[in-house]
Amino acid sequence: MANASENRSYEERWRQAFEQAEMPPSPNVWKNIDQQLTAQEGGKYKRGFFFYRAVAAGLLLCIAGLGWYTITRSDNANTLTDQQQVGTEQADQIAANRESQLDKPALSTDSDEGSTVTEQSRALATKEQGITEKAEVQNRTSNLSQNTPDEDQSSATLQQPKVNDFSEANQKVLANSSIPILDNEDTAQQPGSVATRQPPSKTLIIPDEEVSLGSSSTPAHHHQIGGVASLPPDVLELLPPTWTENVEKLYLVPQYRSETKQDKEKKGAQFFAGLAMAPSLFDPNFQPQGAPASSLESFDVLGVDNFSASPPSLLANRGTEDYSYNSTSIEEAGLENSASLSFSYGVDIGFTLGKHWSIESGLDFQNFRTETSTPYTVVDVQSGERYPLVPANAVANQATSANVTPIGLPSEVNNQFQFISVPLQIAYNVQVNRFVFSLSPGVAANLFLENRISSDQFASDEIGRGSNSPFNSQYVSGLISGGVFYQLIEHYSLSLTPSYYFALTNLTNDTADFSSQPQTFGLKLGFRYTFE
Amino acid sequence: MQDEQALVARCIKGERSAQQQLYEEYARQMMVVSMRYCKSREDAEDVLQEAFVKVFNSLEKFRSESSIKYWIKRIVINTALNHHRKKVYLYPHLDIEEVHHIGDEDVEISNYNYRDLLSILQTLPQGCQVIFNLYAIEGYKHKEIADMLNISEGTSKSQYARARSLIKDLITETGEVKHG
Repeated sequence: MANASENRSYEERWRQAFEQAEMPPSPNVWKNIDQQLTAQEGGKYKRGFFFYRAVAAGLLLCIAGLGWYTITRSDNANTLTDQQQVGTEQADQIAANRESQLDKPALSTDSDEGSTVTEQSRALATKEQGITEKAEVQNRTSNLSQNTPDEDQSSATLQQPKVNDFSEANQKVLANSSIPILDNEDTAQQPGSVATRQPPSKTLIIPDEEVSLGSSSTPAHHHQIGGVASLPPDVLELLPPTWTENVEKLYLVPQYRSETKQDKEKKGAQFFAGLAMAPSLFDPNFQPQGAPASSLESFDVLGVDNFSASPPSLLANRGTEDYSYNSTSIEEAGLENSASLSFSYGVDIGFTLGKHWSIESGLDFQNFRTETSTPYTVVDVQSGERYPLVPANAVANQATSANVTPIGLPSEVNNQFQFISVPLQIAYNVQVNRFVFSLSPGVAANLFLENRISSDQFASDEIGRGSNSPFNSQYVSGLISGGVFYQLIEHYSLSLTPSYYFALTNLTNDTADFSSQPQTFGLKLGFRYTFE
Repeated sequence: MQDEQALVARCIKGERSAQQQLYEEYARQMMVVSMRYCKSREDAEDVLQEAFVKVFNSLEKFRSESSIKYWIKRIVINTALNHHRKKVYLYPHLDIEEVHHIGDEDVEISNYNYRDLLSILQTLPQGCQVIFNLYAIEGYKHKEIADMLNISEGTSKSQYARARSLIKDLITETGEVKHG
């Protein structure tokens, strides 16, 4: 006893010797601390900005795409204007030719009427953008062209069409027209050829500004510019004279011009595929199972509950013989994870089922990061490596009181989870102009790849799939996503789709004394190509 | 106490002036602590720097139940231990029997100021230095030290005994020098 007391006094003397000791550190120490703190603050900013940069990059991509599309469209419009100008000039030429050809007493009109035709041709060529230039053929039925002198006025406007009037130049212009509908493969006919092949009496374009059908039974929508009236071959013969009096121009156009939205809707399933990346927040949602134990001494391979034992309060326990582990919240032992910005990448595929519905699937690689802290480390008995101890690596490392060491200050731990996910969704889509709004519930099969546990102070531990792993090789989650697609150009769309995944089955298996039902929120940015 | 809490609160907000104030308040004392665990001033300053960065990053976790001085001191000690942790694993240790053959006698240290004692501590082998500090000056038990350093309790005891023996030799030598 005396020896122990003597020893204590020896140690007490040492303690007293250093009790009030002070020694100024170099001024550089504070400078370095200041720099390090500043760098960390910058790093936080950087991490925050990374997400915003990703969003900004997506927006820039959208804007660039829109700009490109607008410029392309503008070029097309300019081309059409040029073509219209050519058409107008040619219309003038045609009109001039007609004037000379109509210079016969029986069929002639006065020069004023001839000029009216020319002016109207010019005016129409200007007004009917994208329509008249494709069918700048002024057809006049042979029936009408052979009118009696009583019908001079109408015959002046409904003369026998001259095939030669449709000059080669004009045909070229029409054939090269860049209006999409003319490129439709369903209509492999060129406008010019159609105009010359089709019976002239079958298809008429009747500009409403220049034509009044009066009491005709033709449906009202045929009055619109570009509307097509399919009339029987002999209809003009049956029309009363008043009808023909008001008809000033009749245009022959290919039948495919009447292809409308209804026809498009009748098209079969459309397949689509795309690429996407999603900034995500992942919560493994670890939950304890069973009541927490109160002593580190009960640490065993099944004992995640042991994580509830706090590290010994080292200074507070000075002089006491026994450990007094305080039972603290389990959050201190790595169960509570805070989500860090993570990313997933993948491909999407799917096909439409009618106007509004589509089936979608894909393949995503998910690399999720979370952060937690632990007051323990565990030493691998074989390699001697020291790892931060969290519930996930307790089983694999056979954590017991023999190889678990408390550390005074909880260590920050990066918890990284990797999955391959295969979603299957049914989507309801609503199209508004170029935008498609989508709502798509579904399920996803998630294949667990790896859980990497690392910290700055200790070695990194990797938990894979296998008998020692507390994780199932896969789990199923429900998901719901809704988003918006913007059609940049034909076939190509940009997408912005927030999604929420929630576990339907447990990620952890029976060997784990904790449960995990992960949740993920992601904001998927991508583009999609639709196959015709 | 309220001033200290207010200072801590400002530090948590990230006010650099408050952080500097807290640093200047405790840096001189913590420098000595760090020096006791390190072999050189440079090492000690590295540990001190790392420790204070941890302090500022972890201040949100500080609970006012204990003194902030002891909280910071714990961080400095842990940082120093982590700094040398791998070396600690490799400590050669003596058998328990061997322990009984040394350290039976102590030397008087009251004639020495803390700088002299610091120099003596820094000449000890790393393992002995750490364990002597933890046991004799910080007041930990051998079992606590064993758990902290992931060594056996026997190793802790033997290292401590060896430290005392070496200190005795060093003091005897320096005493002879001192007293001519």
